[in-house]
Amino acid sequence: MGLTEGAFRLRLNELVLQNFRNYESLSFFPAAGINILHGKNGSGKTSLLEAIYYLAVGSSQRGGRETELVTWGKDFFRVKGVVALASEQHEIEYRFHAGTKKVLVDGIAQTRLGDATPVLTSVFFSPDDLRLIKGAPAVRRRFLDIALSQVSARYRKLLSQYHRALLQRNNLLRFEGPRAAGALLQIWEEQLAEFGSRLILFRMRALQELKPLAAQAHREMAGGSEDLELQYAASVGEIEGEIQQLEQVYLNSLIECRSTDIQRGHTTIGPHRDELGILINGHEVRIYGSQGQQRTAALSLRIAEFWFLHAQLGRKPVLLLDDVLSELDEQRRLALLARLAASSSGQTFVTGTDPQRMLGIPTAQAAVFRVTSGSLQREG
Amino acid sequence: MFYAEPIAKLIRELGRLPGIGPKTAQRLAFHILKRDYAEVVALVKALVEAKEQIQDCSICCNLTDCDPCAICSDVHRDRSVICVVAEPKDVLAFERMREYRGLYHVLQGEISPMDGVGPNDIRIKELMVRLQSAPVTEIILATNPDVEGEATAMYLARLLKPSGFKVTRLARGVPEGGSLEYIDEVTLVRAFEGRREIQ
Repeated sequence: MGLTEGAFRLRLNELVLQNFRNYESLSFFPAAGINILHGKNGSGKTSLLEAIYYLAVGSSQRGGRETELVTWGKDFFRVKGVVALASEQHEIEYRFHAGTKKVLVDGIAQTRLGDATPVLTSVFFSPDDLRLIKGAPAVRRRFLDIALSQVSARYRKLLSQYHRALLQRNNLLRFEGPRAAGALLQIWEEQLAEFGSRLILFRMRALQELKPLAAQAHREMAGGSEDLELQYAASVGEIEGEIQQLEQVYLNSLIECRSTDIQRGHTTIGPHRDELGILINGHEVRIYGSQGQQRTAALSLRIAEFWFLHAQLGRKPVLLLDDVLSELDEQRRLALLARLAASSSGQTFVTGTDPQRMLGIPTAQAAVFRVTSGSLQREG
Repeated sequence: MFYAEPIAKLIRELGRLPGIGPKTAQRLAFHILKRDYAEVVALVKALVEAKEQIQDCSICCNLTDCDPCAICSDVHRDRSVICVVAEPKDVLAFERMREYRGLYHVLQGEISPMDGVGPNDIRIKELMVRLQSAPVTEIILATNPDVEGEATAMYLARLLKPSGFKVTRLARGVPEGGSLEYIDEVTLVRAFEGRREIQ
């Protein structure tokens, strides 16, 4: 068992940053297990986690645009990681210059950005995660998209094809309006139905996996009386049966929506409008949950994401914990730490302002780094 | 810019070509000025001749110097099959294959609302007119396998099917000579979905 686990261990061996946020130049060699990063607010702890996440996902956990990541006054950034997976070692590098993003794997430029993603996988726990519950539906869709994109190249491809076809149909609606002929709309609708129905199936299958994981995490933190439930609400209608059937239902819904869509100038149904419902004991947490329940639910989603990626890829994703420990009350924090300790065979990065407050973590196995305005110093 | 007006003008004109930025335009301009007079005249002649002599084939809409084009006027080609492609360079790709003996139709573009290209902006009308009198039985839709190419193929299929033509689309999936282990999962899923029973 131990051998199998070790054989698939994922580890970031080196991180090189240039002009990334407040790091003009940095070369960082993290430890294999737990890495504690402490320092004052604004010293660049989160940016370091952000850079690692960027290597895995190809975008910031905050969303936002690449230009925001460039150090003030500079015109490009570079993020490079040396990643070890079992006996293999890979180098992945993102370069952003003059509005264009380039990705290199082992020094070779990739023609399709998506090709690079599987090298590193990671999950980001952030104080902003409350947005998963309280934010707009787009935040929850992005949660599913990122988890699935880290697992499946097919999903990434479908997602980009879907958005391409969506853009084309929306352009037709906007510029042709009522003049847009049915035959012309249909050539985009058929593709939307093909890609969209597969996206929905992917998401629903992922949800089947995520559901028990999230429910269990929530139970462990909140006690047995709370039942966390995840539901997928598809805007194209009832989702049942085989893919061909679903495609047909989808296409019919699109055709029915034509007059509404022409009026609004965009496509009003599809995976880009679907919702992930999060409920506790049958009630929508977003509306009826207490502050504490919302926090626990958000944390449960992240924990579910972690175990989902682990199960799908057979290796633990790099765990990024940004200042989350200070957000939780004692009992919940302990539950989280227990979970973290259980996953200690993976690589973890934890940030906080006060190293004393992170002592719940077994420091004997942890490497401690002090972060001061764009530089790192190892302390233990 | 302190260049003499004729140089500045040359740089401006070159800079209007696709893929040519101001730096490259400058380099090309000075390169041209350094060449022999005869060489420059040959270049100009080639430009003007190409522009004067190349036109759309009145049958297949491919670029040609004689109308109808060499392929359309070749009596040995199979007139019952037409292969519909997006660009002239796609005809070249098919010809390199040395397998296809039918005719072509070049759309000179694909339907793309975001670029303002609708069915009336590409050579679909010409195809429909051509089909009224040609003895065609099969039409191969060989537009690109991306979202726009697929949409264009669907549009054509819907237009052509009711007239009783056999309409086909190129197969997709595992490339010839590829080893399964190195094929990306997206391509493999395509091939898997389009699997065929062995006859």
